[in-house]
Amino acid sequence: MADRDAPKAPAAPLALSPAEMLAEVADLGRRISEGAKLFSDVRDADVQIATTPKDLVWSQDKVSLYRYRPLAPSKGLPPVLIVYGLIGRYTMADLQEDRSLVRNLLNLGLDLYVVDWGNPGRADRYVTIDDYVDDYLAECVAFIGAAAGRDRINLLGICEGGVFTTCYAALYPERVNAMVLTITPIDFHADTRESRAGHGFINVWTRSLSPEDVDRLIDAQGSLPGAFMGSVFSMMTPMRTMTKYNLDLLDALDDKKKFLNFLRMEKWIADRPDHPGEAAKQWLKDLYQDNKLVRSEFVLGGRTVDLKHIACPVLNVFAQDDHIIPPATSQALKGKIGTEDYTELGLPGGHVGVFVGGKAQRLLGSGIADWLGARG
Amino acid sequence: MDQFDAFKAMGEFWARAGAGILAPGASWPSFPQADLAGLAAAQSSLAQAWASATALSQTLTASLKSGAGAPDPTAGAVLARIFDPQAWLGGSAEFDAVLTRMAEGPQLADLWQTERRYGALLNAWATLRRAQSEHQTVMLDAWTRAAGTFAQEANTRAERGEGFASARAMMTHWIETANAVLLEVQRSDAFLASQRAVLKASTDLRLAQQDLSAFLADFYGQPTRAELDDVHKSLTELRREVRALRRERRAAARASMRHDAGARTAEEAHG
Repeated sequence: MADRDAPKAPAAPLALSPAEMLAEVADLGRRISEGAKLFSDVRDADVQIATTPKDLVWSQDKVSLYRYRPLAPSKGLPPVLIVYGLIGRYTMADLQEDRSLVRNLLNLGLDLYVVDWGNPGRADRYVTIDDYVDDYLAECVAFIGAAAGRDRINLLGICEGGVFTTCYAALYPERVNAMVLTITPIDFHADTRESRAGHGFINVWTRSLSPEDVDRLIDAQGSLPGAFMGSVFSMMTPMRTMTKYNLDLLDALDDKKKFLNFLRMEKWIADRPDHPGEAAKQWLKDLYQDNKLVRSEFVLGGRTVDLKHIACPVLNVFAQDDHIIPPATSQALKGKIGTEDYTELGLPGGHVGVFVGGKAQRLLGSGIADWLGARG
Repeated sequence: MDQFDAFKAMGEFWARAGAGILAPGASWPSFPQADLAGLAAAQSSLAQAWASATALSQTLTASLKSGAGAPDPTAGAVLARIFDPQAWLGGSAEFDAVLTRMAEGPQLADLWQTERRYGALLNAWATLRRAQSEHQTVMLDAWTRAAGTFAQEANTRAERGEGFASARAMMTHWIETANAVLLEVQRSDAFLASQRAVLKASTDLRLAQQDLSAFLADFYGQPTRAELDDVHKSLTELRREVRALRRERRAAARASMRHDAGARTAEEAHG
């Protein structure tokens, strides 16, 4: 029985002649040699990310607000504030010159701002999502509104940042002209509606924990460490994680441009700030476990975030192959808000591919600019 | 008991107490390999040494007080202090016990507390190792399944005379096979339960480390994690208040400007 069940090694898996095998080995040697030269030639300046010129216009505590310098004549639309989450950094929207949502939007004449949450440390353990939405984000909007002489501005939320802008738009509907959400979870349990392999693992994993597990984790760490979340993301693509720095890198070595793209992406991935502890508890327990946002039960600053209070037009962009934020978790917003002006835009690619993939990122920029242009 | 016997008894006490105190300390540097039974034995050894010391001290004190050659009660009391191991270890009797602990280091009672924390730490470490092993067993099972599937497919290909065209093609197929199995395993109850156990155990280990660290930090007059957390909490709350005050001040300034503008308009209208 055991003998029958035991896996047997392949008898003759490779149909290669000795000459063919030698050729393959020689090819491998050539690529490694070229790669070694590439590695020695590359300097840190070659892999700079988020290079689009911008100016610091406001800051408070660890939060900074930047305004991008225009790259094209203004369309005269209300300013757009890009809001990324606390897991990762906004630089993904401006990874490199030819893969930059920021540049695409500037080239289309938008007045663009971005908020950088900084590097929360252990000292920021008690900072909550209430602080981020009710205070920092509200202050950014107030500053931009005052600078532009407008009562309302446009918001562009990305992932967790999309949850922040959703909460803000529900709590302060009078301050938002229009809201664009990208790869944003609304119904954190909607992953169960689809059963695509590898999709929604964070949802499943978070639900496998008890609320006490989360509390103790934060008690022990003081934050949700960026490195920890990085390892959770790595688990979602297990074999890709194992082959990334050998096979994938070897493939990238064929082409300097491809190689630099690889390194820039690695640079963004490596810059993963720690998530403040109390905000992480809200994120994991109130949202991922208890799914309070879609039920309009999430409370910030003593007020309930009622999705029906969102009165501005909403463009909801999702990635069709997003394994981190499955499309159904984003699309759940439909019918839950207090406006009929709701548009969905499903783009090819995954969670990050939407922003940096050749085709998707161009569609994303023009899709957002056109939609906002019609709602100026 | 004559004086010679008393000093002989003291010598014996120090030898036994010293051995007992040093035994657990000697095992600390190698604690990653330490087993809990070993730690328990060390603690037992210290406990025995401490009990022996106390008993010896009491015996000596009693014999000094009742001995025919020791009628002086003052001398008896002084000698009793000298034979009290705590007084010897903690310094002179003139110092308050708490002050001594603050200034000079642990007394035996504190060593006990330290050891209990080391015990909790070792226990947490052992639990984490066990949880990791159980999780690795789940992963190893997944790997065996993937390898079995891959080998079966490769054999079928070979039997049909359709080997892989290149080593890379074979590797790609292995990656796809392994990925499919791993993704399936990650959603299984066994994987989620064992991974949760690892997370919980690693958290418990961290908390045990922090408990020990807090004990030692407090002991040596350094700020503890909990004290720093208190400061950070206060700082966060103060920042909130400052932000709220700034908002109020800004709103008041805006209201004042609106009021002034309204007054000017009214004056002009009536002027």
